[in-house]
Amino acid sequence: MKILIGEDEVHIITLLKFTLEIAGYEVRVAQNGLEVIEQVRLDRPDLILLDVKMPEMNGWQVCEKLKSDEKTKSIPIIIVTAFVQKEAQDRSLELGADDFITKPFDSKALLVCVDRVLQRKKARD
Amino acid sequence: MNSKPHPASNVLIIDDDPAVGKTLAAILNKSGYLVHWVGNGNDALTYLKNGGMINPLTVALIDIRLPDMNGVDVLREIKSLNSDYGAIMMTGDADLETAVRSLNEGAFAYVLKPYHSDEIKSLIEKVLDKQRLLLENRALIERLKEWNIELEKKVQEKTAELQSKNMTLLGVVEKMKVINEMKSRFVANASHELQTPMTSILGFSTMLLDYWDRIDQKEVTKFLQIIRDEAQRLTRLARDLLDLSRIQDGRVDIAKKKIDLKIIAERVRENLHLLRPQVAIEISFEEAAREIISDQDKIQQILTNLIDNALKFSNDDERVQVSGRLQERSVIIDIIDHGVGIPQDKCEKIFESFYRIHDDIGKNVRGAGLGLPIAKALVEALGGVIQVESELGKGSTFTFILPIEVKQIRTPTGDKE
Repeated sequence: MKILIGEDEVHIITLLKFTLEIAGYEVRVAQNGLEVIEQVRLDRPDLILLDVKMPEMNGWQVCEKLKSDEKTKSIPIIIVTAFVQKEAQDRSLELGADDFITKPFDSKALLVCVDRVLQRKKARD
Repeated sequence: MNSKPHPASNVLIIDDDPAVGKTLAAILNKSGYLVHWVGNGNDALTYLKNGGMINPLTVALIDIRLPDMNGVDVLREIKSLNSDYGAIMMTGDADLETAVRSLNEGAFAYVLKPYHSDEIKSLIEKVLDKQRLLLENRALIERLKEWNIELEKKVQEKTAELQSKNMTLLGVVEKMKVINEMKSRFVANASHELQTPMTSILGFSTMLLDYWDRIDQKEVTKFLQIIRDEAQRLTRLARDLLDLSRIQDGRVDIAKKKIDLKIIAERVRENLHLLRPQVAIEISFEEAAREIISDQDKIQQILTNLIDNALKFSNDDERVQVSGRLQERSVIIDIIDHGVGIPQDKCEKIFESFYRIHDDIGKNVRGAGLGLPIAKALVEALGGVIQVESELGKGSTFTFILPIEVKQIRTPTGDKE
């Protein structure tokens, strides 16, 4: 299973990468919004973890773009953000995100969330 | 009859018979009226037209049969001059038709000759009473009207006052909303900035605890370093947030003393050089622009934030120039870099809390976006101003101007509205 991480903070990238790899996922990284779109086009992932605050294009914009494109709308997206307000969660789900995790996150909770979203996707297909 | 005549009431006798005119005039004069006698209608009208009787309390005694006109016509003319004039008709022969016409034209009474002077006097008093009542009534109505107008004016004034107060209140409410929104945005941003290092600290420490046996020594060291760095970042951030909120709320003490700007700039260079050894920091101050009376720590922080900012956006082997010159009673300090520059429409935005230019220009640079807002707030607290000029791709010049002697503590500078 291939997971694409859209995140600009190097330490968070390291952390996410470590957590996901130890659980057996294959991980790709994009450090800004445009790069996420590009990576999705080049090497279609099974799931995307998106930070909201990113240069070029923020996570919400990326999510909206991918979810409104027929070719990419079925790729599950989990928004991972330090914006803890309820509005941030509402906004994410409105824009079509499949799930939402706030930072700081618990690595086990993150893996449970990733697994749940992938299971749901599998059931849909 | 003992009714007393009004002191200023006039009586105009219109009768061609001197026996009537003179006698009556004498009697009425004696009773206190101002009496005038004319022998025909034209004389009467001329007299009245020329302002003979200005007092509205005027009674005309009109003989029906006058040499030049009919008394009823004279009555009509007089009434058209001033409808307030009272009139009593006098005649030698009883003629019902004339009597009715006279009353229709506004005569008060119709008297048959020969008459008794007391009867005339009593009638005159009745006419005058009626006139007085009329005048009083009219004055009352006038006053009522005035009151009404005044009342209306007062209501309007009060309404306007209320409306203006309302507008002011609405303005205040709007302003409060804006301030509230700014505060919420600030808190949301601050929380976001605090959560990010916290995520690393919690994540890596959990990782170390959970996978202790599966992580090699090199990675353990790396994770621990990250934890330490992020903890430091958290500390810096907390300090910056506190600083910014204190300065913006005006809760800042200014330690006034004589300081040397060049020495402070050199100290800042020493501290920052290690961060970017590839970028040279050049310092030049006019002799006259070195010593000012101000707050040393605050100026050091301003210079640190501005030079640090210049270093962040410089490329390797470029230089950052810091210079100072005196102009009248101010020193002007420029911090010039030759780095990426700032788009014209972002020159104001860079002084807003948590704004990070790299989100817009795509250059990934450390920092929470508090350095410039803090520098601006401090410059303003010291009675100065700060501005930036920039050209994309060529670099930026930050200029701040400080008075050579800081005045007393300023009250809140606050965020821009």
